[in-house]
Amino acid sequence: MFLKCIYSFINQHHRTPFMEIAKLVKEARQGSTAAQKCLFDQLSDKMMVLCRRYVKSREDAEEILQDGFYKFFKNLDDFNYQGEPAFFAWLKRIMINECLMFLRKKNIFNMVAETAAEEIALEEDALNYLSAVEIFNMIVQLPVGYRTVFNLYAVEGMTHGEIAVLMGISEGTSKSQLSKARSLLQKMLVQKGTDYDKRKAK
Amino acid sequence: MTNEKQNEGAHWINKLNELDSLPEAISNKDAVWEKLHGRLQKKPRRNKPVWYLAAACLLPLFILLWISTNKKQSLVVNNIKNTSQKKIIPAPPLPITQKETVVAVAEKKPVINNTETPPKSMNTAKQIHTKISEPLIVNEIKPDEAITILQPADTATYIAAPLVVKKKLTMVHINELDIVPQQLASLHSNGQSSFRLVLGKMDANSTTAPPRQEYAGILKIPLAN
Repeated sequence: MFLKCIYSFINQHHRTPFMEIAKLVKEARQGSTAAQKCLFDQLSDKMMVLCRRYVKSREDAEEILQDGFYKFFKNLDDFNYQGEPAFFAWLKRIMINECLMFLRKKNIFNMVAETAAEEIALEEDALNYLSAVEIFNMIVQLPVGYRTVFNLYAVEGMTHGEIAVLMGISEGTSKSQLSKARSLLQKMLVQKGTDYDKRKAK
Repeated sequence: MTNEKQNEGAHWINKLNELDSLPEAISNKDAVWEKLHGRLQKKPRRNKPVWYLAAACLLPLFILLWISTNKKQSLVVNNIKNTSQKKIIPAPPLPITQKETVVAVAEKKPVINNTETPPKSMNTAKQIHTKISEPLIVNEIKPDEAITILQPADTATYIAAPLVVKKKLTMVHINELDIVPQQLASLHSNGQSSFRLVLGKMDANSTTAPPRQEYAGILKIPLAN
């Protein structure tokens, strides 16, 4: 009860101190609703960004976020806390799986391997000159298949084999989708050329 | 993530991963939390024990029901088997040498027909089994009617069969009967008012009456004064 009051006080005054995750996880495991709420408050925005990278619609992303956190809290007892990186990786994986499940339900992974007619290599250096939000917006503009493969390969660091298994597609399809995603991103970058040149000049 | 890939795009990937929130973030965080909290507070359903209990209660009932229905079914099946097994087979046509004769036997007391054994040589296709426990009193028989009484084969046929079937026979004049006039005279002299005719089959050459078991029927004929 005392902890709950403290958490609510902190939340009310928008200080949002990043309380030690280990403690919160421990208390949440013991069934503390306050600790669960605190974990949700601290992690939900970050996880929302992740969900939105996979699912364009905000409403859908919120639904996925809710499902993901539900599974997270339900399985917290089985999770062996070994530091924050492992904890975040686990939570991210839960959310990504939820996103993929959602997309699979919508049957958007019925992709056929195609040979890219026109491939333009992505100048990844150019991305470094963009802000995080700009990169995010560019990725979100990609078609869902390209976006998913690009997120899994380029951002999450999965191999084509892993992606193929997760998405239920062939490795060839995964490769072609990635290549097309890169081409499209490069085109977007070219369109943003003026801005990019300006930034580069700076 | 492979090292190569990390080195290639580490900068923009880190930027992306460090993005903690978006301008258009969660619409209503508290509402989402409330929903989530509601889901978390829901206790897992414990329907299984209830179902097991209900099943345990219903199981003896089902067993009893099954046993009772099974009994009924077996009874019906047995009856059907009996009727099918003991089907009335039409008797073969009578040989030419045999003919239906009537033997007159004088008797003072009314005779009760022995219904325990059915006659063998009757045309059984027209016969219907009747109740065994009720012997037919010959006194009640009218001259123009004959009653065929057969022992029922089994319960099924007993249920199906009517009790008494009246079979009309052709009217026969006394002169047509093979009765010696002296016999009739002796009956008169003895003061008998009627005599009994036993229907049965006997060989044309034979002069003796057929055995009692082979009687097809008995007629009581009053004597004219």
